[in-house]
Amino acid sequence: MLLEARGLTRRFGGHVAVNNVDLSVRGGTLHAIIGPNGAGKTTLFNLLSGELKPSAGAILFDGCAVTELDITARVRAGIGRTFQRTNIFPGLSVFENLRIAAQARSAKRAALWRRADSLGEVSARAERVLEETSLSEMAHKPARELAGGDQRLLELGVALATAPVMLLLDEPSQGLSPEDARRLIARIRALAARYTVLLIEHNMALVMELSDEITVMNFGAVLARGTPAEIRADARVREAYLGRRG
Amino acid sequence: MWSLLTVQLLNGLVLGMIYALAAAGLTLIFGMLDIPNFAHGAFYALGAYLAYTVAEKSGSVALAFVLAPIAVGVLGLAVDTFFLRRLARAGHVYQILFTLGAVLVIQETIVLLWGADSLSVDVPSYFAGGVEVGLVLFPYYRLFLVAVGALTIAAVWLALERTRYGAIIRAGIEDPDMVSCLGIDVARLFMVVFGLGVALAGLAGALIVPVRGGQPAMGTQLTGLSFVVVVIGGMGSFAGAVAGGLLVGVTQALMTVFYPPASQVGVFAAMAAVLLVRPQGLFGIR
Amino acid sequence: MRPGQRTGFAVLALVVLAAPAAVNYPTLEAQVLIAALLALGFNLLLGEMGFLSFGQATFNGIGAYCTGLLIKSGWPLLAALGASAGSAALAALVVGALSTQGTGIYAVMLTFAFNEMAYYAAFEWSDLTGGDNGLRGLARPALWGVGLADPRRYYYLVAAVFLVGFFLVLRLTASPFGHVLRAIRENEHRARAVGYRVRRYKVAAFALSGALSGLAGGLFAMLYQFVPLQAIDFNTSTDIVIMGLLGGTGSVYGPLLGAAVYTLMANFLSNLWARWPLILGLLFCSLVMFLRGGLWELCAAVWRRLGALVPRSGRRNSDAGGRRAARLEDRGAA
Repeated sequence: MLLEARGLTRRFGGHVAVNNVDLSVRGGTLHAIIGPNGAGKTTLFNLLSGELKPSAGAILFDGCAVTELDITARVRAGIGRTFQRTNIFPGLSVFENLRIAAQARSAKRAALWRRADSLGEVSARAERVLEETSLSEMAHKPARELAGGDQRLLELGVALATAPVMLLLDEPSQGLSPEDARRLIARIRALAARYTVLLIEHNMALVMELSDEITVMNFGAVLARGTPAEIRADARVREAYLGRRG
Repeated sequence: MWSLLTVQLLNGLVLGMIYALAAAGLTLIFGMLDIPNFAHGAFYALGAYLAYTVAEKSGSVALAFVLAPIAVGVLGLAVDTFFLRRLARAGHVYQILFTLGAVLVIQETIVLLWGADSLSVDVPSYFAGGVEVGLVLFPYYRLFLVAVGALTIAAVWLALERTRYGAIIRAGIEDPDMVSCLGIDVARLFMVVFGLGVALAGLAGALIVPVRGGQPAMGTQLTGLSFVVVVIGGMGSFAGAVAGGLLVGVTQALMTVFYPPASQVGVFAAMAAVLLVRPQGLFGIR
Repeated sequence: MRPGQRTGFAVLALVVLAAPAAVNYPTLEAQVLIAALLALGFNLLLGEMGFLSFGQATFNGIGAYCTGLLIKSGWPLLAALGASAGSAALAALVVGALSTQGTGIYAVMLTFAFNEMAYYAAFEWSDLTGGDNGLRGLARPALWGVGLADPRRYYYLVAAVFLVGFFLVLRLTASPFGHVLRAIRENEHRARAVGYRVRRYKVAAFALSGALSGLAGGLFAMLYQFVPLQAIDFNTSTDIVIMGLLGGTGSVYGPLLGAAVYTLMANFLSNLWARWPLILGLLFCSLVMFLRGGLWELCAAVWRRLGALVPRSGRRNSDAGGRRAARLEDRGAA
């Protein structure tokens, strides 16, 4: 298992947003988390990426306990993430967005006396991601001037540039036109071959098509887990989504 | 010794009432508009000079205490309408910077209109004399000042608690986004808040002139102290500003008896400590 | 440095070195360069990192007092200046570490509170600082046997320190560290989420800014052979803010322009009309309202117009200032 969560719980005051969740993600797979709105998916992501500290439970990444590490340390350990709401550096160029993310993994990231563009390794990784995300044409545009779909791609690119082992993607197709969403899906499919991906997604067709494994959450807890076929057949899942009939 | 302490306590109350008035105004502006109004002291100075002129021209001190704050408030409305609100989209940084520039403009205008020398105003004749505290005479005017301050604060507090506008303002301090979502004209509300806030500073200025006179730069120190009080009391908390103002005033007055050097460093250290340890302030709501 | 920067630096160095020969006011010119160092230090925080510091006079004052006291106890000039930079950097480290615990307006208010504390401490501790009377009677020592009593010689010392400082800032803005500061300005949260320890960068930037300001304070003390209490006054912090914004925060050259314009205005206008701050205030308010990129952006716009009239003249990067000012606005609104 690349990522394992045991008994993960997060309370906000009296409200339990994530309740005793166990999660195992095998290396090299694409694992999706689905569930109705308010099921605790994004809170779970925030716990896994280190944005939030869990109230209880433990997280293992590649066999090491990362529960106490903050988001910065977890990125360095190899957990990259994207955000549901686009979260990029709006005034910097597309290339600089990727370059600064790549620089974070360089030993010379805080050097004062050399030029940033002399870090060959860093620029090379930024270039690679630029091509992977097919944003090369707009490399020198300020990120804020990109169209929505391209901004979502850049969001993904920024996470890729940090050279993650595992990618947490929080609703990557959020707010995209169907056409842009299709473009993004193609990217994610390509990524899944090289990274371990944990995905939150509302687009059910997409999830069923891409995932190796699915975890269904409801009311902060795990409702079901299994392959897409198993989930499709699961009565409890239908109930959660469609409501109890009769 | 005891009479000295009593007098200092009373003096602290006077000072504290001035701080409380100014800080109550600032906390409204700060809490709701998020603008650290660095021109607050300049409006206070303007209130002092306007009161002086009204009193001199009309011969009525009472009129001066009413007209000067109103004039300052109207100026505040104008500043908010024509400048600060237009800067809202540019962000708080530019609103702060604008108030910084406004200090220079107001201060220099005061010198142009009234001259650079200090003002000195006699206490109105019907306030001559005072209460005997041990061997010292505590002037009636200072008691009057405390009373006017207390009444004004009570009136503003009632307005905030009991009127529809007040309710909206309180809601706006707690959650400005929410209020604008409710379809309330936040811009007009902000204008009122800014006007009311600086009017309170103007009143404080008007009240202090017969005690301390007036200098064009008299507001500089008050700006700093108002921030101290607002931070200690909790940004946006009206009761906190009033309690904080009295607390700081009395503490300062008593410190000058025991250990004068610490009185100024102490208040700013208290401010930094509150910001670090309890940023919502002692009475803060946010 | 990029080629464009190299040209810019060469032109600036030429102007700075030739200034006293062209116009013989070395003391005033030294004052311009000292103000420019202060504005540069301020803009490292605001322009590069997006942090509005209302307490730059703290570091200026500490540098000035440090130089003054060390010179009094017989230190050599450069050692005293170095110690000033160091002690101011240390103070900035502490102020930065504490202030950056707050966010937004709270952080700004913390820099203000520390400035006021430093001011009143200097005021009360008059045995050391001379309090309201200032620290007086500082003799300007010779440097490597060369007397510096002549204002022009002292000017060249100030010019050398300034150029070194400015060169370092140019290097810094092009360095990986400088890029991280810009990332923090653009989106602090994301900077953290791609793996930067944001607080450390902020505190380090504070220390560097403090070192520049402390150096300026030390040079000022030896320029007038006197440290006024005003050196650590909050009003001086305000002046530094005004200088920075007057010139424009979008370019490294903006603050230099702002410092020059401010210092020259203060000298010439104050002779003509004692109420000159009124003009300054109106100018400042108008800039805030209508021209947030400051005078540097105005110059760039004029330059662009000229470029449009004369084809093939220099038009590169001319709108960079405006764009950066726009970014600052985004931050402010956030």
